[in-house]
Amino acid sequence: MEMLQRRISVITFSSLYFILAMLAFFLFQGTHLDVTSSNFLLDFDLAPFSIFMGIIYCLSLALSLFPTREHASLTPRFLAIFFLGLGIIFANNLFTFFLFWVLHRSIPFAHFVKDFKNETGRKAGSFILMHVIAAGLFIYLLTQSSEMNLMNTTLGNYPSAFFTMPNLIILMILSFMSQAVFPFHQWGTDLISSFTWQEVSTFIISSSGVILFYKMIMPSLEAEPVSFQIGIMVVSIVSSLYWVCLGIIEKNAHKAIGMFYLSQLSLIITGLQAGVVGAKGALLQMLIISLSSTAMWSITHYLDKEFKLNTQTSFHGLAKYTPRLAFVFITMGFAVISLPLSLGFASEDLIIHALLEHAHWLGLVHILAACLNGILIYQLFAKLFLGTPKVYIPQANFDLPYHRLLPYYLILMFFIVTGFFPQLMIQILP
Amino acid sequence: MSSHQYSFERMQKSIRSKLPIQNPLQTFVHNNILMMFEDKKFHTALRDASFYYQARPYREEDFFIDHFKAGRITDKDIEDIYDSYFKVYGDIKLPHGLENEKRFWKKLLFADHLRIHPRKILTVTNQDLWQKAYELFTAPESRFKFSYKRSLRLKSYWREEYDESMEQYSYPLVIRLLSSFLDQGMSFWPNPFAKKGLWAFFIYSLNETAAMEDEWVKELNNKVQAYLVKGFSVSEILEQELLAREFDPDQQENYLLEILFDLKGWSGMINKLELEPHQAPLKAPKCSLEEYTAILLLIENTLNQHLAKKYSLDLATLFSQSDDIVLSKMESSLLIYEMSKLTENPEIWINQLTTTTAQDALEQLMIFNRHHRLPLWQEAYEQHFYCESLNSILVHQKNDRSIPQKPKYQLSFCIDDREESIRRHVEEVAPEIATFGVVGFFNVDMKFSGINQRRLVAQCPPVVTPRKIIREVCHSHGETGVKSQNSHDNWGRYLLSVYYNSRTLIRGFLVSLVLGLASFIPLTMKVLMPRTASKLRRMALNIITPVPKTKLLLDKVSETEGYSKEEMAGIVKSLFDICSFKNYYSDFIVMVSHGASSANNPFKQAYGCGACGGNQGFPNARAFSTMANDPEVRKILRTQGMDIPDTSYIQAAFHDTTSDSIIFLNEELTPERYAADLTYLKKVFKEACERNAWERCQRFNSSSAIKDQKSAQMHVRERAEDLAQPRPEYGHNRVALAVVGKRDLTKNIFLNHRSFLCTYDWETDPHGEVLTQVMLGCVPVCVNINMDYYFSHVDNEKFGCGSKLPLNVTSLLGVMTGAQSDLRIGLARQMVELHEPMRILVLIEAPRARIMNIVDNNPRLKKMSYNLWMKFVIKDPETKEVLIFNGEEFLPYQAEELILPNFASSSELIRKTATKIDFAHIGVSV
Amino acid sequence: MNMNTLLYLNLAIPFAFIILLALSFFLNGPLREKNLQRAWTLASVLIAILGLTQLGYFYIYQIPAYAVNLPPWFSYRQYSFDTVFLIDHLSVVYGALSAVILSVIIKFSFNYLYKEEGHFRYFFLIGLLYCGLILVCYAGTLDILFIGWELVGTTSVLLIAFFHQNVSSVRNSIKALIGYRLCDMGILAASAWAHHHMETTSFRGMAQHVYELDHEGHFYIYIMIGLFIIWASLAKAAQLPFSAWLPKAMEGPTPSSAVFYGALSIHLGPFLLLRAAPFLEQHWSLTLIIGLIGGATAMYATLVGRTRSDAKTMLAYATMTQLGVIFVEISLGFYKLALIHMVANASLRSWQFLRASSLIQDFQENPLVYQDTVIKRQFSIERLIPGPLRMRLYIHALNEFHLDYFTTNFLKYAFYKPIAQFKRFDRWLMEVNNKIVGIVLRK
Repeated sequence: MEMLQRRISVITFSSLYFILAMLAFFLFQGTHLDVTSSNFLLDFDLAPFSIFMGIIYCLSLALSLFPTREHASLTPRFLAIFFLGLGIIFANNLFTFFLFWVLHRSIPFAHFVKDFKNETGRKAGSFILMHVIAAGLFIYLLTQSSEMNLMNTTLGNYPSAFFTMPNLIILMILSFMSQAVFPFHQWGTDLISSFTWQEVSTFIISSSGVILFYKMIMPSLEAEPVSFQIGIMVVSIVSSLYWVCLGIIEKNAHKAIGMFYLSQLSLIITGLQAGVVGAKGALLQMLIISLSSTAMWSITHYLDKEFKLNTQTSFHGLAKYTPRLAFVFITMGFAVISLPLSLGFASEDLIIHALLEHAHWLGLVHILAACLNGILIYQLFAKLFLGTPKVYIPQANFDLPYHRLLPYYLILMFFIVTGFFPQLMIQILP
Repeated sequence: MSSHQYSFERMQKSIRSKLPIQNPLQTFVHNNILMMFEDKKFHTALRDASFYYQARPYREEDFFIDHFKAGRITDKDIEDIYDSYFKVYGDIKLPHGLENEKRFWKKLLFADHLRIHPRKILTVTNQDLWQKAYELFTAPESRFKFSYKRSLRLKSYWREEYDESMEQYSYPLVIRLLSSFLDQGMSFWPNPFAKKGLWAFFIYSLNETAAMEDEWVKELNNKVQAYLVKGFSVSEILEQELLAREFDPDQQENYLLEILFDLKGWSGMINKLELEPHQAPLKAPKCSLEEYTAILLLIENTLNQHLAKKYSLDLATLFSQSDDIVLSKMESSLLIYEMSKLTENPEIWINQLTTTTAQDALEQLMIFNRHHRLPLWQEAYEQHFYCESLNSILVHQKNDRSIPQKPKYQLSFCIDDREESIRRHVEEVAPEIATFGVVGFFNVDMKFSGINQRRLVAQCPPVVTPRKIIREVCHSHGETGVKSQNSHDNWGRYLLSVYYNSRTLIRGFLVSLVLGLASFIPLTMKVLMPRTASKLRRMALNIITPVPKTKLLLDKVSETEGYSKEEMAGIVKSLFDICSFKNYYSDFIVMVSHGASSANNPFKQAYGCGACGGNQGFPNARAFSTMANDPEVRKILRTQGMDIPDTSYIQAAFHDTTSDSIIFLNEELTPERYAADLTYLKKVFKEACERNAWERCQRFNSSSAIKDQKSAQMHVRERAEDLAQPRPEYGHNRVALAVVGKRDLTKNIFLNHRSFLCTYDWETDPHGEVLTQVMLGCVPVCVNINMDYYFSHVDNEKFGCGSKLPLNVTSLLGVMTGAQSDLRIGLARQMVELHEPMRILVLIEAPRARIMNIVDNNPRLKKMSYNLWMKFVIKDPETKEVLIFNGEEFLPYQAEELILPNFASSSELIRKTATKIDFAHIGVSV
Repeated sequence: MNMNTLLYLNLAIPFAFIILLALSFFLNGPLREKNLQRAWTLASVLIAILGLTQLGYFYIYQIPAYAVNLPPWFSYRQYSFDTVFLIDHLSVVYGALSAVILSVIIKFSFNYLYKEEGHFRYFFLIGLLYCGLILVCYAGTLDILFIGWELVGTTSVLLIAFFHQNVSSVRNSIKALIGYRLCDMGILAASAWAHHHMETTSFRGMAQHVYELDHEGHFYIYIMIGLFIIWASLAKAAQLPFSAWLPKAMEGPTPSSAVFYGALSIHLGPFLLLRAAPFLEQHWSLTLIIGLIGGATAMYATLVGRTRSDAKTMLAYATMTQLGVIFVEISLGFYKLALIHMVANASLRSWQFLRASSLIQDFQENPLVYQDTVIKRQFSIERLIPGPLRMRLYIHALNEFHLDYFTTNFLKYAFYKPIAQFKRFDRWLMEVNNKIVGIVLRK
């Protein structure tokens, strides 16, 4: 009985936490809770709601799925990454952003350096190299802004003087690099293949690149020359194409979902650049992606732990043993790739129409990337759940019990309800 | 050429004998799939077959354990069969030191950790015992080599190691060739190579398309061209390919069999069409198993080389792979620990064990798990039913069964188990009727061609070769006959042209426009209201293609057509001897044949009358009744001592087992004075059929059918016509008994549709000629049906043809699953889902000596009884004892006292127990 | 009870029913078979009545075609997703056709899938299919049509993989999905471009705007949108080059093959062309392309179809031939004929699919079919070709003119090879990073 109480307590705790977080966010919608001490600025209002909800959901899922001791999912490392991620979201000026960003990246950085030194684990040279360069660029920007004594101006209203061409390019590189967009993407695979699912998803959801872009660069983007905007768009679309193609070839389900994650994020960056309507669609899509990709990743992790999926065999055929998980996985996947009856359709529609306002031909490539994502998700579902199971377990049902499926059903209901009435979500989202 | 005799010639006979023997679906007949394995004991034959078919020849272990928990298998059953089983299949010895252990293997049955798929995680309780067991094993892992056949192909290796499925490569190429080469008439463009042979077709198509095919097909083409340039014939190529791998002689046959069994449906069909071309629905193409094996072997070797090159592996090392079972040190000590807990005194046993004896004990455990655990369960499962059925029949003998000495009517039905219930209902409705069970084709071995059919259909069991051709002709020879023939031909031509033209381009356009809009009517009518739709269709067909009153041309026309009077007399006499009327012939004798009617069912033949080769039995009934009513024949019979009075008339009838209706045939020929009998019998049949329908509906458990007889009759008729019904009837499901003896052995006992009933009166047949005929006619057919259902039920994917839903009719020969797969053999899942997998119990009421000399000089009967393919029980009326055959000799059987429930009538039983019980008295004053 | 209320009912009932089924699944597991069948009989009777009354109403009262404008589904600043439903002879006829055929198929599936393992899943997907079909029939704008289009595509793929334990049906469902997704891009692109250049994606609006576009010199926009729409209709109607997946899609249960590839899902291709006909016909090049594709597919499918020797793939190719003919009819401008031909072909093919497994009985009962004879087929075009050439044509037709080989090769060289190349380059780059970091750290 003890196990049962433990489970129920954890489930109620995580769902409660999820609902409380949503309520808190709506309440504080308007207020600018500025914790200002010299140049340490935190602002609760400007934080993009969807990223916030994503990271909270990741925590609640980690709690509900593995409460028992042996799958200890609440490791201190994960909690550190989680809270530092929150810090990044709420940071309101460059210095605090940089502070949290460095701390946030230092955890995997230290891990990889230790691994690299004593030749254990994955040699993540590109992760180390890239983040050293990024730190350097950040410091350069900070010196720039301190010269123009802009240290405690909030991110949103930097004067246009600051955005000289070199500064802007550095800012772009920084946001692309922290978002593993195409030219600076090598570290993505390193991270995915050596950290647990909840750590990697919180790491990616805090998506400092998108926040940097959304808070700092986007307000000043209209002023920039059109060729620059087109340049950014091309880079991010090519990055999403790259990640989705890699995902389709990838045999290991765990990695394929990571790649799907990163390609969707680069689609969001293209959305952000397509004016206000595009930004709205992109933020909505960000919410959907963070929720459902985390859920899909946790399901793959659970299956990996339960059945030890070896990467060689395709078509594991697990739907025979876990029918409900298969249903949740495929509906979640279709919600992300904008199946009409889900919220994803409205957000994708907004992004595509806004994007085509700006650039005809680029819009087509974006649509191609979205369609390839659809193929990747179904291929992933088929590989995991369809086909004949390799191992014969008579009359066994490894499906999660009903109460542990609750968090998944919660978001499914959320997607479908908002899918029928998207106008509701569009008004609420800041 | 190699010195020893050319290898394929040498192996050909044994290879052909092991391939599946199923006919094309048009002439489908129930066969024991493992008929060719019958010269081995039952369980050893199943062991071999499971290797070739890659199938599990028994239900899974949980099935037996659930039945044990539910009491269907009791401890006593295991006790009874334990010793006799190990006497027959003794290729296992008790582990060292346990020789005097009592019932050791029985205890092993229930040890959860030693099962094939261990259920719970083992927790060690007795530490020091565990310690001793652990020290026994020094080597880190112990390998167990099984002398049993192991797969010589690399198919499973490629799948496990490199996730390369060979089917994905070879199936599209091979199946496309086979289905178009063997096509009987479905495709609009006939295959131009049908006459030239499969090998010519293969070479031409390979050479033609290699440029635009995958890499490995190009390699295959190069290899074949190289052979052809050297001028090799097919057999030489086959020989060369076989030498590519060094085999010791007997492995070659296994290797070829494994490759052929990869596509077992197609291989069986090619073998069948080569040996018996007349079985083909239309015209068998020139196929040869040798060419086909050469093609498959070439593809197999090329694929192996291609994949080895792709993953840069050395083929030789791969071939020398061995897949024996590897147990780690921990696992083996755990097993020994668990086994020791089962013995009386574990410490003593463990102490005297050494590593070699422990290894040997594990080996015995694995032999037990692989070869003896499931057979033991199966024997116990069957033993329980045998005891229950024997006890109920023997206990039933004590009651007085009212057999009318002078029955007013005598009805003879087929031995089919579906007729058991209708005979019981007829006897309940009209006690003055006596029913008999004879072979359904009434000994009329003829090739029948219907009034408007040119097709010659063999209306006799496959064992019997039909001697004569009988044609059905119109009554009045005038032009009505010719007119109806022309109208049928035109209708046939119209149907064929619609079939072909609706699929072409220009004519397809016209057909789809004109017929498309018209097809709304049949689409909505036939699906929404099947019975009215088929009634309308029948009415329309009567107008378009009128069928005049017909009669059978029985008189001798030539050596192969029509019977002479003497032959007719012989047939009538042989059948009436079986029925043993004892010179009392009632005025009105009815020969009831049977058949089935179902819509949209590729397996329609499987429901027909087994004795008439799966077809409907009415031609046999009509032929027999015309012969028996012929005055000349009666005169000859009188000379042979069988005096059929002129007052008695033999009427033919037909029982449709799906829609449960009995109709009289050629009523216009019956003389006037029997009109009253006809109407009376029609009323009796109507009531009996309704009750029978109600009893059958208990199995369908669709709520609408169970309310009462009337709704059951309506429901059953609906099922026969419904296009969407995968289960028109349950056919021979749950058949497990065959009773050969007088009717009073099984009168007034409820057998729940589970027994064949063959009439035989031992008193009237001192020398056993009639018994030979009865046994040769009935027993093989019963075993064939029972075994066909057994294998299709036990592993439906490998022995049967899987679910009926995705089936796709191919080249008029068989069915595939989905767009492209192997030709499926056996029965569909929906047809065998209720079956209880057991060997049939044959109970014969006749003196032992008479039976044994029949069995001993008939090869098939001998094999079946001595190799335990059926449970052979003799009820010797002279010595009043019951003898069970255990493979060597007869053991007397003591019937236990069993109190069977008693019901006034079958209807009451149905209302009360919905046929959940199998045996009960009906209307007996106990 | 005017047309609008009929339309709203027609739209609302399927969606409500689907939500009901979903709720029953979430609350306490799938419905028992008996209740599911009762619920579905009620729903299918309602659907059939509504579809037929809509048809009757439209034709008896000679109601002119008109659009029903509803408040936009969602809008943000200047972009709004406006919901416009169109009632004209095309939508009403196709709506009635799908209602009738669907209720027949559902009645057929009751007995057919009795006690089957994926019973609830099958009926849920069929319900979702009907929602998609209704949306496509009455869609006034390209966007709403896309919603229905996508639903039909997804349910078709999931039903191909109905027997998910059978690996070959899973592989074929992935192939079908690739075809569907590539072609759905067409509609998305067309609706986005139309929205940008013509401010409206409603079919009537688009037709009028073509004239202005012509003046502004953006004529290539019109051509591109036209091409996108044609591109979108290819996969659904299995026209070349997307016809390799149709014969492989015969893996699901027979009624699902009947309703998807016999009647309703496959005729959405020509339906889209008919819907966009006033827009497409304004330039000869677009109609020419439709005609060429249709003709080529008809020839390809009829030649290959003649060599098929199993029931379902033969029917698949027969349907493909007739669709090629319908494409040609649309390109020649016979819209009425094309619609009638679609309805007739839909009912004929679904009837032939449902009866596909009684072919053995048909040939057995036919008086002209008996031992040692070969059925004489009537004259056809391949008789004209001389002997040896005909033999080669037969072999190539038997191998479906290697369409599968060409598509897989195209995918391999256009997609897998460059990506694999790139991956190798990427790994090399990572090695370089590792070396650099190695040097730095070692020091």
